[in-house]
Amino acid sequence: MSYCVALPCFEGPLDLLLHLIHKNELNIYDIPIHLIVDEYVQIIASMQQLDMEVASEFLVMAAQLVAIKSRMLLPQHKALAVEEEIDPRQELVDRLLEYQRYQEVLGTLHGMQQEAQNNYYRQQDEEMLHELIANMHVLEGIQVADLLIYAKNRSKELQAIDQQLEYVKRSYTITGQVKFIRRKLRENFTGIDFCDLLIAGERAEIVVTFLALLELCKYGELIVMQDQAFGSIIIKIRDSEVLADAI
Amino acid sequence: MLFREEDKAILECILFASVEAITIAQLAKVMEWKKEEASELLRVLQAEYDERSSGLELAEIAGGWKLRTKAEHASALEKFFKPLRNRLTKAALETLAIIAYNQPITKMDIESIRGVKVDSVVSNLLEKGLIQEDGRKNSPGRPILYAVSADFLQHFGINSVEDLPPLPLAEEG
Repeated sequence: MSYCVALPCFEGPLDLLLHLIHKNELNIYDIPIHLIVDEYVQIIASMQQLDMEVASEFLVMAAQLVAIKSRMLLPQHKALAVEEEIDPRQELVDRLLEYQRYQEVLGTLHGMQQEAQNNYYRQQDEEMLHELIANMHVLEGIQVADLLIYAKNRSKELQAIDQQLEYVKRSYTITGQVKFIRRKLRENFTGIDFCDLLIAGERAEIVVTFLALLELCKYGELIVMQDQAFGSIIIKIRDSEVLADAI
Repeated sequence: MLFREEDKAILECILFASVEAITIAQLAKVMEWKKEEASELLRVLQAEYDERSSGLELAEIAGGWKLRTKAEHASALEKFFKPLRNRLTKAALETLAIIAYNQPITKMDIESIRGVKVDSVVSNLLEKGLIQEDGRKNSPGRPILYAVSADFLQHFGINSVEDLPPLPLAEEG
């Protein structure tokens, strides 16, 4: 995150500006912008490897400095000058002062953390955490018989996949699957099991079909039910008219 | 007072076994002690640790009470637990300071003070457990608010953010 220029390391444009101001013993309320701009731009130019995100923030500040400089060089319109003049540097000065407040406590905070590390505390016991997690009952209420059923269904699915001797690579699109689900649902008004929507049972098909299902949920076209964890997902049309309109 | 001696021993056990700081409210609720009782037991136990030349002390820290080693034994312990010391980068410390003095605060507000993007620093601090999410701001986009954690307090050896050094006032021009 930080960016190293020459020797000192600057956390950002404000940090660099404060450094320049202190180094040259300048008055923060009356910054000679022309001096600062030149030095600032020089340092930016000497940045060697550019870390784009940080560097861009330095560049924005350079642009702001140049803008302030040019505004200060422009002659004031007399009519305007009568009104209370706002120093173009004011906003920058405010930000620098605010930033400086935090810089001033950093030293103390650093000392505090050094000191605090002289006291040692009991460490988190990872084994105990593992035990805690192990004792959480994710599968509460699921019987051994249920597990057998799931296992059976799963092995059937796997067998079905094995039986497909010919491997044809198909590509699936969400729009395609959305249309497919809509068509299937028109044929089955009473509802359909998510598994019945899968033809090839390939991973890509499952994922894309599920995404299409979510998409349709978002449109509010479906009612989706699953009565328990790992149970089958039943899909119904919410409103047949909506479907008719959509097609 | 035999009964109280036993309570004190129980309190010592709890403090010994706990990773988290123990609060008086917790003791009052779980042990069914009166708050003043719990607080007094803690003070008595603290004084005992100070009197007998124990390596441990009872400290009020991170919003509660914890047993910890005395600072004077740090160098010896350092030999034993080498990897324990961890230092924060300047960016991390700066960001932490801004959060601690302004919490809860959004990423955008941190960025406007620092003048630099803070995404990676903030996620780093979250990962280290020094800050935590603290709800969302009721403004457009409902941005996440961040605040310092109990680990932060322990890291700096304080009991609450009130114990931080006062932020110098911005001088008037």
